[in-house]
Amino acid sequence: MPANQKYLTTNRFQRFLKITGGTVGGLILCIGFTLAVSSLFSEPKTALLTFSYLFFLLWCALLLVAFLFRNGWVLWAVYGALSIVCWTIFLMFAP
Amino acid sequence: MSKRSHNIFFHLHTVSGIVISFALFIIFFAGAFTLFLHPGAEWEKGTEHATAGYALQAPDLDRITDSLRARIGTLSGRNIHLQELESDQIEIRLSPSSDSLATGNALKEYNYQLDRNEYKLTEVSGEHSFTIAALLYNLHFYYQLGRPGYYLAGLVSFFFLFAIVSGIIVHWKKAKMNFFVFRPKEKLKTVWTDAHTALGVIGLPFQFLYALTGAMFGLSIILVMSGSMLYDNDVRKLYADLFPRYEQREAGDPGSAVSSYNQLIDEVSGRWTEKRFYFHEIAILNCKTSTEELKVHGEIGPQERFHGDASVVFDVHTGKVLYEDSPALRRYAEKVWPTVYRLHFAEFGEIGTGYHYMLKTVYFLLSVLSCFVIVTGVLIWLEARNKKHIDERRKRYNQRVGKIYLSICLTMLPVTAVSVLVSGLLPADFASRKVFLNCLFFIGWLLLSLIFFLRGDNRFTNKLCLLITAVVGIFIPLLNAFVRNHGLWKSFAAGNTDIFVYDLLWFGISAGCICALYRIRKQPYPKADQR
Repeated sequence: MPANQKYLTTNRFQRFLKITGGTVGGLILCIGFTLAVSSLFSEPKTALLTFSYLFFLLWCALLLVAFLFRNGWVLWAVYGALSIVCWTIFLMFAP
Repeated sequence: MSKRSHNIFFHLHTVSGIVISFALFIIFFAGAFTLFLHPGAEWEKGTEHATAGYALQAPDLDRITDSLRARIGTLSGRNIHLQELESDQIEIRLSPSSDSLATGNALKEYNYQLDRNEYKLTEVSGEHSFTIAALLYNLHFYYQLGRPGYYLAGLVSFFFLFAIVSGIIVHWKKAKMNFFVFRPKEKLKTVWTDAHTALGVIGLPFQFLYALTGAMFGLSIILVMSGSMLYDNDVRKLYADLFPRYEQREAGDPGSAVSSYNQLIDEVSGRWTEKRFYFHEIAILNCKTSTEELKVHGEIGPQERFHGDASVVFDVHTGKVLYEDSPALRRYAEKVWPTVYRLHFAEFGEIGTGYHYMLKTVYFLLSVLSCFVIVTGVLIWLEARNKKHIDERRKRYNQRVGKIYLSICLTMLPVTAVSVLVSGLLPADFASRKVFLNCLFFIGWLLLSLIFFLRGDNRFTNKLCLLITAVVGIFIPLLNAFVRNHGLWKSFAAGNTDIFVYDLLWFGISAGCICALYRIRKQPYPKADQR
């Protein structure tokens, strides 16, 4: 009953890109998103505490979605672009 | 869902599940016993504690400080912490005096146990407190490895969350369709598959709760480090804003103002009038100085509310309230982490029979069920790779992995039973308790799993582990009854809930093992194991 090989990534480098994109890229994006949203409030306390549980659900979702991309480079480009947007918002609004 | 997505998620579920399975099994197993950490520790130490109704009354603090002063002289500048207020044996911890002129005994730390009925003080040592229950508690987050172990447990939790989410996506359709399907008479692999999916779905909310809260605990460092960027990269500032706490004032000049602690304590019980107040901890800070404080922490009506924690700090000299925290003052933000703690430690929903023990029993059963889901997951993985088209070498390798896996996981139960029994038999003044118990547990675990691995028969491993647990497990309540003379019935009558619950727990485990042994006694060897 193992998963059908023909749908899985066989190229080692592509697989590496997807795994790192999901874990590291997802983490960077998650932290960026947390900071961006929290910095929009004058009191980040409530937002940060909400992210203490949302963070892991979000990271988990990003890790799952990462493997649906057909190309690892596209994945990194999408997560990277979103991260840049989030981090820019954070740096603009941070106290 | 497209075929491609289904296969990808399926593969992710398999890989993440297999990678963490072993570490996760240990976490769930140790966690199941950690639910009974307190009764386990009390059982092993052999102390008799009555718990009925004590939390509702504060002890006589004036009398306690008087007898402490008679014992060790001046208390000036010390912090005195009183814990275990739920039982009739209160633990008292005295810090060294903060007075810069203090000498001799005043710089020593003291630990006492106080019998609440006669107000008798007994000195206790720190070493005495090490137990197998504490060992399992540390093993629950790999704290034997220090901080890295803690992060490892967090990562395992996170990937567990990942495995759960991908598992739901993959099995959703089948779970709806096959919810009532259970085919115990079919071949073993079908039984395992049904058990894995059916029990996995039943235990899902529970496992999801633990995966999420476990990741929050273990990986909280990520939240703290990233969050501190909003606070000028100062972690302390973040903590001060997110988790405001009362900071103890500096010790003032020694003074001997005559003041009654009991009067202040009486104020506490009436302070939050609506419900009963359960005392958890009382502290006298900066004792006998001009900044003397009385801190009381407890819970309001645990039967009626989820967030009942309340604490108050008095200035002893003026009687003024310096700090107050009560359910009425807390809003959403102050409830997030307390909720996580209560859910993770199974400390809510008390229905009046023992302290949270009904809930803890349900949690215990669900933890055992989760262990079962993990083991069946690995067995399915192995069976799925035990096909004709897979070459011999690969097959043998897979089988070896399965044997290692089972011999390590299944031996945890008998080793725990034996260690608990031995720990209970050790004399109270045994010198190197900590080293001895650590060696017994970890070396015993290693040796036993090695023996089973070399023997190489999974069925034999399973049977013997059950047999050892059944026999040793029944000796745990028996030892308590006949060697220490704290029989089940006696503990129950005397209100020693902790000891009673722990005896009952092992009685239950032993009975469960006997049932399992009886069920598997005549089953034919499954095809997979014949080789």
